Amino acid sequence: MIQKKICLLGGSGVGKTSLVSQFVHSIFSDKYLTTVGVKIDKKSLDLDSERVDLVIWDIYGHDDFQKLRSSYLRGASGYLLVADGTRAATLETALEVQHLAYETIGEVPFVLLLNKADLEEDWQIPETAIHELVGLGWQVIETSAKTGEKVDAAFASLGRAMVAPARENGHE
Amino acid sequence: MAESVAPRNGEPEHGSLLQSASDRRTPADDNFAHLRSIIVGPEQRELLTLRAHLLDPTTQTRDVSRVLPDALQLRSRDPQLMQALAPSIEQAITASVARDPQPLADALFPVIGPAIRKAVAHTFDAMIESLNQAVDRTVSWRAMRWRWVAWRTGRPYAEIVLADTVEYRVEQVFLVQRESGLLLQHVAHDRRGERDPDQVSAMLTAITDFARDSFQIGESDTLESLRIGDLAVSIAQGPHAIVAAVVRGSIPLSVRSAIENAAESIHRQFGATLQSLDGDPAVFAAARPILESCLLTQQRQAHRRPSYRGWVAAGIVLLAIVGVWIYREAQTRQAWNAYLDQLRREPGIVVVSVDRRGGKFIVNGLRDPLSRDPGQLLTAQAGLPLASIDSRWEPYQALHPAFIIARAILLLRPPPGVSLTFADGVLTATGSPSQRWVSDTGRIAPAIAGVQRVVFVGDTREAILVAQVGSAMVNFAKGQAQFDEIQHQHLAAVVLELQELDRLLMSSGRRARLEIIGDADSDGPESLNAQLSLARANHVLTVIRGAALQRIDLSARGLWQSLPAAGATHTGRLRNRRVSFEIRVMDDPASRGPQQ
Repeated sequence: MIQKKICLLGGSGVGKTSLVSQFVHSIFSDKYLTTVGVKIDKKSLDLDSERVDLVIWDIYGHDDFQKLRSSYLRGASGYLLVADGTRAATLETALEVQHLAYETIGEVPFVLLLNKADLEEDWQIPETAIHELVGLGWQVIETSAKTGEKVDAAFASLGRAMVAPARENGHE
Repeated sequence: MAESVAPRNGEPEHGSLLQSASDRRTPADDNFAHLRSIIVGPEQRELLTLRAHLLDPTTQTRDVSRVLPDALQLRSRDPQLMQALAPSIEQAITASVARDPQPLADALFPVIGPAIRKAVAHTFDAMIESLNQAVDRTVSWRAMRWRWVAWRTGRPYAEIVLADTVEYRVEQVFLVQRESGLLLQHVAHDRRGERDPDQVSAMLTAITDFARDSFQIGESDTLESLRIGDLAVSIAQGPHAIVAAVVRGSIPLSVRSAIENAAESIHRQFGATLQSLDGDPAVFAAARPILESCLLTQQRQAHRRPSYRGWVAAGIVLLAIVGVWIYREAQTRQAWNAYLDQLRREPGIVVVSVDRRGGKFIVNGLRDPLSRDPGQLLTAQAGLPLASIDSRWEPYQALHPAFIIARAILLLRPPPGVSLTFADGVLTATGSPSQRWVSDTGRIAPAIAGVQRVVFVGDTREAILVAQVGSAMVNFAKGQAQFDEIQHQHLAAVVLELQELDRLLMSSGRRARLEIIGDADSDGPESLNAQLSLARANHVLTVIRGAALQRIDLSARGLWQSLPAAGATHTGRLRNRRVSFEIRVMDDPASRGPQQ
């Protein structure tokens, strides 16, 4: 069994918490988010018959009023970056947050989730921007908190990316 | 050829070597050597240069110094290097301190102050906690016991209190990777009621970070404890891992030391693994015994030695019961003896035998029915219920004077004004009883046990009345047969006495005869005086008849001439103008017959 700490990052109101709420197990209520600024969830993945326990630090939305507490990022093996596909500004915030995360914990696997994929007509993020990010080596997945579409896939993808380097180094 | 080699070489020793060899060589050899120098000469020269370089310590030192920092950097996390360096560093520090402690003291100065303050604060926190409890219990039984133990063992009181007051239980211990908050190992006293430890561990780390960020405290200062009601979390921070103990009750110093020791030994044992952890905490299963050693519990003294306490308590209860029983028994005995004494003193009661059977007191004896009820005597004795006594009394007549008198009163029923006394077999009646009672008493009293004879002291009422009537007179004015108001009152008093006498006679069944005798003074003619004296007697008779006496027969007569009682004085004459009475009670019952 492998345990990994991952963070759930993104601007406020992008639907981070609701995105994962149906996929995770938590003993804490959402009020921790607004008080301590973080809420701990847990999710178990079965990757190629190996169990990976993800301890998810759902960190309160980064915005103009509240800066991300970088201390919460320490020790994370990866993170999910969430943006709202119907608000282009949240992608910008996500990029800022990614930069901050990189500065704090260095190069670790992450996946960008463009949420609210179910609201096609309100979609604001151009394909070109997504292509550009993919071109930079980013992994981008369009998800929907409403339908739960591809959320599990996102977790699995991040899980694989985190476990792979460990294997290469000969660790179990 | 050889000459050309040596100067090019610039090394005279080698040159001379070649030179000496060339002394014996042939021209063919020279050619070969030349050829050889052309083919391998540069390599040979380079080889010689390297050889010289290698044999020179100065250049070696220079070379190693160039790569040493990088080399150390490269293997900075290698335990082997640390192990290799540790003894030298230790010796270097020791030597440095031995030579001059100042530089090391200066270097440590910024850290040693906070470290000491922290340690002192720790100790004080724990002490204050314990002392608070101690103060709470200063006057308790436990406090007295502490004082006794302190006196007995010669240890300070506060130390005994500290050792004994803290009650706690370490319920869970977490080993958490400091940076990621990932749970490396978790041990618990009781798995029931514990929440997901992975999440708790992460949240604990988050809260620790939160506290540090919120209050902008230094990186080296960390949250050491959290308290929520009765539950506390004590946290020992190591460089790479945290040991957190969830404690119910106050956190004693022993728990604090235990988790700090655990953190240290885990770092010692797993230092390298902690740093390069890839997420598999299985390796930390080996740390379980260390963590389990932190699951300390201190229970109340009472729970630890129940048997000893139980026996002592049972013994005390038993002693108390026996004590109470002995006390009650002694009290009952005392009450019983007091009751017996009272019975023995009581007139009319004779205690013959006493016994005790089946928890009951038994008393046998004689009792005069006129004596006080023994049950009543008992009520005066506390602690001796009536039901606990079985009494058997045989009736008898006590010859105690009080009982003889009581019995005489019951039997003779003396009239009011008559009292009875008894001494030496003689019953004495004092007062003015009727003749009838006197005669009845004289007949009955000797039948009373103990009475040998009866003595009457004083007149009977009948005798008194007879005497009073006999001495009474009604005076008249000169020549008058009528009397005035004052004399009328005199006569009324006589009538009352006659009425009382009449009642007495009636009760005794006898009769009396009253003669009313009229008189006159000696002045005037005798016939007139005779007439006057009769008239006066008749007048009084008329008044007395009005009283309708039943047992007294009345008659009136006048004296022809009164006999001068005291000469012819005025008083004597006055005395003669009167009516006097003669009364005679007929004692013989036979005389009643003809008169009825």
